Amino acid sequence: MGIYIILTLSLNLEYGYGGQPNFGQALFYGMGAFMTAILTSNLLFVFAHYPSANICTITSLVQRESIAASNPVATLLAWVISGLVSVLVGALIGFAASYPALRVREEWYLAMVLLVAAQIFTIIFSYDASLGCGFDGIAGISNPFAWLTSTSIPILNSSYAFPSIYAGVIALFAYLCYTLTERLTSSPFGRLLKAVRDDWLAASTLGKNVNAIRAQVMVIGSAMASLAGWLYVYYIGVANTADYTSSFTFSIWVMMILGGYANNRGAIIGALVLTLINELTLVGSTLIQAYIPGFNPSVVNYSKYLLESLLLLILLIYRPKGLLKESRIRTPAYTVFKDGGEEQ
Amino acid sequence: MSEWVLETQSISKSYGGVKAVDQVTLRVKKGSVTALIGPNGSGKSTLFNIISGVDKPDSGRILISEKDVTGYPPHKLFQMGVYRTFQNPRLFFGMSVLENTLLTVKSPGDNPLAALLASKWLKHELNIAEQAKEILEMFSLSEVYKNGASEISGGQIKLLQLAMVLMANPRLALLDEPIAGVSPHLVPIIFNALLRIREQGKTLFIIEHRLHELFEVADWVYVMGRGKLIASGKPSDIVSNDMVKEEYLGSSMV
Repeated sequence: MGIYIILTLSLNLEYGYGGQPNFGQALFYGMGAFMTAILTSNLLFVFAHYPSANICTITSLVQRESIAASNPVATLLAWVISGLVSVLVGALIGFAASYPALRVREEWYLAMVLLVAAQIFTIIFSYDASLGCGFDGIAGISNPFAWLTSTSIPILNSSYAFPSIYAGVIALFAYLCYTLTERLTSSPFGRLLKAVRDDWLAASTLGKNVNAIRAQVMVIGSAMASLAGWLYVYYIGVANTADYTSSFTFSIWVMMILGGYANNRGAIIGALVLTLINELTLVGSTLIQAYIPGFNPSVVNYSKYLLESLLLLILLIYRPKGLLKESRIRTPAYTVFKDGGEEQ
Repeated sequence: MSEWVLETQSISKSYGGVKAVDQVTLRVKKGSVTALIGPNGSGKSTLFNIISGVDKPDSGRILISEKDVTGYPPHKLFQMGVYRTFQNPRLFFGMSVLENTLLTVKSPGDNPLAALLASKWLKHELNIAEQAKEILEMFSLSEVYKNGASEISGGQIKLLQLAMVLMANPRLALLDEPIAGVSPHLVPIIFNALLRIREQGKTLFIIEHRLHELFEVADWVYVMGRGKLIASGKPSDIVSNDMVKEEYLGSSMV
């Protein structure tokens, strides 16, 4: 949930505010995830003084899990370092991605470039087992607080404490990302982003370095997406290319469109609504499976795609700009005027 | 410091074999109001595009205060003090009048890292907002400051363009038809606004078809016809120039 919020906020910053249609959100998300999984797998062995081994084997997977369950120092260190590196790598790839963005005048070419880049990423990581264990993915990335179970601290060593703590950590990061994007967008920088989005040529004749601004927004957005990838891998326990497909990217797009462009609160609402649909259909399919034997649960499971599309269509008809309206950049500049810039 | 803010040297530009601008050499004096006139399609806007960096010339040089700026991108030229308005106003129509005005000024909060810390840009933001308020009042726009730029009238849009020029405080303002297309009763108001900008010591280079009004304020006039510079002189000389009359068919001169 928090992860979807971060991803939607990131996309909203790039497209809603910056006008950069990122169809490769899964690329930045997946890069963060794989960077995390690869780093964690290797770092755990280093910090726990194990001999280095092939990270794809079952033996290494079991070893990783046992380190995570018993060695808090190694686990947390690997967690933090992989997080920092993922964000950094995400920022770097974002910068690299802005390079074609500066050369295509029509921003939808950028969408195509990133869409293809994301496809290439999944294909390479699926078929080249030396990078990310191929189709199996890198598994055995335990919750960074799993070691709490081996401690003698009451309550915290129960089997439901550590997932809750990690959920809290994800929520905290989602909140941080919201504050970050909200501050970024309600500032002169936010004003600049919208100006470049609406008319880059006019913005450049007003002395705005359009290329630099586009690069900046891609760097920030993709760093956030990679952050989400890092959080996700530690939550789900595996980095698998199946989770980073283009259809995932489009789910994030639906969340953003649903919530409303250039509105950070809208992004959160969009993410919430879609997550809710996902959960409900999942619960529905499980229930049907349990009570109506012989009924194909996939019908309900896949109905989420139908519901998503239906919701999108209804929205595009009745509220094409999303649930929440685009918010005006409200810097304190308005307070200089008599009525303080209050909306009538 | 040179008395010439702008010099173009043999600027040429062709589009698909048509010479839109052909060997144009002209100079704009510091602090002057210089007019650029000519019939539609004579290359005036193309010349402005080249001077403001929107287009690149095929040949020739552009100097701003004696510095060669040929081939500079628009944002660099803006930083050199060149401000440009468009014939079809290119404002940020999704944003408010105030935001449009503030966008003409560089803020420390334009940098994303500084933007995170309000302390880095708040003081500057309030300063420029004060300044914007004064300028908007001067142009009778303070009532609509928080309206979207798409919600104000055509005349107000023209006024906002000029308010933005004043806010940007450029060395040279290239105004592409600042009066055209507004209702007649607004013409004197916009002209007054132009005069205000001139009072601030700005150099104005204006494309305009309303010659009567323009010639009252212009110090110097350049005339273009079919991409070439065909005449230049004081407004009084231009009015009596036969070649100019012929090019214009005398229509708006009488």
